Amino acid sequence: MNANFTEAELAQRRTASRRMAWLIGAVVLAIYIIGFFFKRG
Amino acid sequence: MSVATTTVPGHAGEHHGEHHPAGILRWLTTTNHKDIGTMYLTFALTMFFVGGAMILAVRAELWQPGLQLMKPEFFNQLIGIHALVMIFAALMPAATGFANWQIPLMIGAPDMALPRVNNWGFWLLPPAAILLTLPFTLALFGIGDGALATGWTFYAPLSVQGGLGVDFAIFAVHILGVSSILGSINIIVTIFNMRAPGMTMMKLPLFAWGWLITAFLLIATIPVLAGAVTMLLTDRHFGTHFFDAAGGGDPILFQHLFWFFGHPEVYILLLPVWGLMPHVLATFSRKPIYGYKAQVYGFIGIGVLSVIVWAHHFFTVGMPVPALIYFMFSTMAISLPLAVLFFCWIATMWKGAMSFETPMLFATGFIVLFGIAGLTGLVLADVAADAQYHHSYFVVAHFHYALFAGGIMGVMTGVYYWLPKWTGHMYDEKLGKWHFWLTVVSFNLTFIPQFFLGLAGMPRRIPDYALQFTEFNMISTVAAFILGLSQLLFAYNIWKCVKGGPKASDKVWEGAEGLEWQLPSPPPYHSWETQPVVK
Amino acid sequence: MTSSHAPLVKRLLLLVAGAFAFAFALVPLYNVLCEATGFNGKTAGQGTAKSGVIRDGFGIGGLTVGAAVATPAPSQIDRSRTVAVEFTGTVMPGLPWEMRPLTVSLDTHPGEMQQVRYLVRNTSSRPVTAQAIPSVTPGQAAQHFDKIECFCFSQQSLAPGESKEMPLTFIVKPDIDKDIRHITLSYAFFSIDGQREALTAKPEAKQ
Repeated sequence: MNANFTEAELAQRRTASRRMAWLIGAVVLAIYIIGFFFKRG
Repeated sequence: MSVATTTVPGHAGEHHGEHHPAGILRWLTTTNHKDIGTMYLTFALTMFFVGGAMILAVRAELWQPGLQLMKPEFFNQLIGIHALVMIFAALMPAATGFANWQIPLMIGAPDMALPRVNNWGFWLLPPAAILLTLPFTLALFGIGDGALATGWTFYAPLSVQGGLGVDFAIFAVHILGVSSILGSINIIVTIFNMRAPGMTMMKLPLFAWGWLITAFLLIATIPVLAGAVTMLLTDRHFGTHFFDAAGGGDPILFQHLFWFFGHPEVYILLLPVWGLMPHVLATFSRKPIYGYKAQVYGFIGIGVLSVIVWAHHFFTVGMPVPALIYFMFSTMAISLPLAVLFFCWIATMWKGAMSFETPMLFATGFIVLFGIAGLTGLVLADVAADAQYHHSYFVVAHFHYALFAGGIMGVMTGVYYWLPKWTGHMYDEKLGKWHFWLTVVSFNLTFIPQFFLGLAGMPRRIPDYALQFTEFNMISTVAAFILGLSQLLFAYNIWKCVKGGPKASDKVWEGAEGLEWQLPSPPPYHSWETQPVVK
Repeated sequence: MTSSHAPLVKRLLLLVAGAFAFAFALVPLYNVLCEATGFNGKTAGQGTAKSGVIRDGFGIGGLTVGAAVATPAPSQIDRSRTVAVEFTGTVMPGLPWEMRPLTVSLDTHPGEMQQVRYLVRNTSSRPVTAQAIPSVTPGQAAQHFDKIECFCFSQQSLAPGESKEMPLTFIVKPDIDKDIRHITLSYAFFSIDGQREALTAKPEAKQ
């Protein structure tokens, strides 16, 4: 809730959020590329 | 800086030895920005449930093909009044409530600039809401044939021919319009004249910037709506022919007038939320707001573009090709400043030390779902595609992504974010998280099927439909009821928080920045007796 | 306190008044726009042909009888292409009439003069006066659709039970866009007297 994080926890959260961002970016890119291989029936 | 040290625990309305009448008279006569803000928010929450109940009746009717529960006339009344209630009596008052509570706190002002006007602005709302819904009751006693049955858009010639409900809705819109204009003037004057010393316009909190643009849009467009419905009224009763083709008028003119107001209205509803988002994202990412100036220019850009794109709401009415192309490209151009806002929100979170309390959950949910609203909006802005999707359930799903996920979830973000500041108590975090997940899942289950229904050709505003649409409608109906019931958690959580709960600190959130967090929670009855100085 | 806000409040109120006036200014502006672009399907041939314009949005639309357009020389008839014209009509609520086109559709060359008739019948037991309002789709074709003689140029009266064939003579002008191969002409017949009373007084009758 109203948590006050230690510097180590903050650093860990910063890395985690960056990793998550790249992951989401990769998934979006993958969906985009996979889209090219779909042909209309 | 003079910060009062009294931090009496109590709910939003609690006061500190001030002289004002007690009971109902206090609320009737109050000129205090916090009291008025509380009234706006309470009114908005009440009407949110009223409008929600109406649309649940509609969803129940749409559970399966055929007419089960109501006559088509009553169905038509419900959808139109649902929209008017949600837009004018829930979302707009909620945003005005935010402005009342927060703008003086955020810019270091003791109160709003025009307190009496503020009181009037609020007390015009309940009569307007009653006018809007009264025809339902009158019809029960055999007077008239119920409420406005044209949908919220009042399209002529249907509205010229309609019954008593149209007149009630016209007067309700007039009163609501006056209320909005009073509120807007107050907010603009407050922001221009009452900022703390040292707070230049480019140091103004983004929430205040968003509201400033909204206020100007309201002043520019609400009078046009008032003019349009006034013409409608004179057409109906005083023999003019603005929209009456029999007398040489033109029904299409009404659509132009209505949407000249109607499209900016979308941004009127959303700009306060866009202003609020960066504050929440920055707080829970423990980083400063990314791209402050870009967002300010984005707001201004969207405000300007919003008044020159209206005809995309009726591409299919028959327009010359150059006009179609102009409205298509200008509409699509709005996605540029909007994309700037999206990228600023994402960049604010980038590499942040994020934590996901309820306001942050709602803020991130908002970004994703509002993104879907924007992308489907681009599809509809395409003239060629719009010929297929116009007036289908695709449109319904699209604008609910914009106005529920973008508008109402944005308001919920603000409520969870600021409620501890207003009441001095923390809300129930566990309940808040339940509320978020139930809302976001059931919201998507309600409206994703409607995209499919629209693509498959189901028209909107019909009480009955072809057999092949049944399954998706059933999913949508079940999810809509879950969505509606989940909002009871929201109301209960607010109630619980107002009544008591763990004490909130002055700053409330670890990463919070801004003047409002320097005041005690709850803030004293008069916010900044001595104005703070901004460096 | 408040007095220091007065100048700004006054300016904002002026803005509100300006915006309200702007709504009404849009009415004539819209008509000018429609003249220029055929935005709303209002047809040509209702104003004077030479000045070309004066279709006022406030008067009784289409009542000014157009000066006869000279029959075009055969050389002006563009025989290289045909345009299909469809005819339809509606009787608005509150008018006890029936109407239907006697020619549902015809093919014409641009520049060629054509005549069609609508059959209109008064189904009530009282004499009724009504006015037909034309509309052309697509809107771009409206400016090139010249009505030379039309029952919509004036009010029409029918005795009880009377039926009447009402003529329409028109030319699709040769300068019409080559992409337009299909035009729909639609008439809406409005009751002139007591029309609005009939619509709003008994709403339950509509159900």
